[in-house]
Amino acid sequence: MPVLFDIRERLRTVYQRFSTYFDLIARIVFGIVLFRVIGKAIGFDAKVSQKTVCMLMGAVSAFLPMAVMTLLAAAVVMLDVYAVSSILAMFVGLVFLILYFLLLRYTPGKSYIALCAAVFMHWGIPYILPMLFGITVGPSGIVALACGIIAYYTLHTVKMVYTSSDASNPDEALQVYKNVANSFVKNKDMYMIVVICIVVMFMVYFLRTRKFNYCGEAACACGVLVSIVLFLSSCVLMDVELDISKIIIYSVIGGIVSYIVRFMKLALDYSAIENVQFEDDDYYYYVKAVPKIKMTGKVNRVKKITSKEPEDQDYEDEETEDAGDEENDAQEHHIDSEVIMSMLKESETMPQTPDSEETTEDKPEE
Amino acid sequence: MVNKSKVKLMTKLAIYEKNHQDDIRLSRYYKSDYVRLGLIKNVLSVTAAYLLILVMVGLYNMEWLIANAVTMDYKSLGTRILGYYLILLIVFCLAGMFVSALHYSHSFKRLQKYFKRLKMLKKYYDDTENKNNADE
Repeated sequence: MPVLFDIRERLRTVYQRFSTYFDLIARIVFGIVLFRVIGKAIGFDAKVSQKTVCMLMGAVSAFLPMAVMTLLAAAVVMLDVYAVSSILAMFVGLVFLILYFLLLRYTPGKSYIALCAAVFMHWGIPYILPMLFGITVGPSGIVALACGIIAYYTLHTVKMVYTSSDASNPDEALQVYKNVANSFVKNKDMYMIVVICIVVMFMVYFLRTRKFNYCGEAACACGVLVSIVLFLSSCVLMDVELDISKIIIYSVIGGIVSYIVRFMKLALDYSAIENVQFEDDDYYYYVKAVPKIKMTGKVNRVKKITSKEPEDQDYEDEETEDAGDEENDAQEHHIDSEVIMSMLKESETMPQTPDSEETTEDKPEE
Repeated sequence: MVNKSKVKLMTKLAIYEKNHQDDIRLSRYYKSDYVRLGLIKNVLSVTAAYLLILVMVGLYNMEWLIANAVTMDYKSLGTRILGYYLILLIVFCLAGMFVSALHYSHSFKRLQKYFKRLKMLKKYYDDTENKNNADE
């Protein structure tokens, strides 16, 4: 178990050092995946759906704010649909605008959730997202998640109607519009998935914010169970066609991923809880303090301090001299580097001795 | 000579200003004014969304509307349209007011820390000025 915490600290340290680059790479990858999925999900316009165009748009939008990326994705979708039918493009545009005015404008900065929802719906694995966003984001992400699912079903309905009727015929435009509107409004799969995702996400968030021990872990486990039960019962009761094996497998994967994210974000030691009581002028406090688990990094144990003899010795790495011997892999004590430098300077002024003493030092005096 | 604690304080202030520009903008309003501003924005956006929904429903029922343009009971139709609009407006405005109030409360907690640090910085400058006046 300490190994896991050690790995956690190392990963967090590495991420903190290079977070700018990691975030940029993640945004570029996400942008490329998003536009490729749009191209594959619709694919009406060959120019817009081209691999290179998608990759270029994804790479460029990574440098723009997330709201602009969302706007660009919506514009690309409408352009793609407009290539075959202006009435369908108008329908898609109207639905997107209504979603924005009624719902999405209340969640500024969360539009990436809507984009993730649409992408994962296209891949057929929306079961991961409610648990993941319930652990990380909370109820403010519910609206964005619902918008993403509705946006996906808008495009799914448009593609389904287009392939089953002659949407490019202008004489049939109104009939096509009516077919799309009917299919969209009466799509019970969409309502069911939206409701289940909202329930699971809210439940995970609710459990995560309770005050009992292991609430985060309980939230992940309950999220998995509730997700499986709700999706399976909707398949049976509402006659919805969903792959049962995918529901179970990806719900479990969603639980594992959300647990890992929770672990990386916060690791608590429930065995060392302290319950304290105190008062001030206004209130009497009952406080439960749960310590965070923190692992200190490995430190070098100095076993040899050698005097500096540049004429005699051939150093490949100057730092080796300052840090001590290469055998310092057994790590127990912390040595301040300033102390080492001061000790080395003192040793330079002293008469040179061929052998050094093997020392282990305790915490340096300040 | 550089005062380390002053630099630390100013750095924290600058980091907050960079990452929470919304909070700084929000600090200009009282809570009631901010909620009222949110309410006005809500009314405009719900009205725009409702008009778009009307366009979509109108397009869907275009044939029926054209066929019954002369004989239609415009009064009852108008009453129904207005009724649905009012229901939608009330629901979304209540939700919007709640969201605005919550947003203001969360931002205000962060702003209190920011104002506390600003006061500390002001106190530092006042102390420095007093010290310079005393030396003179």
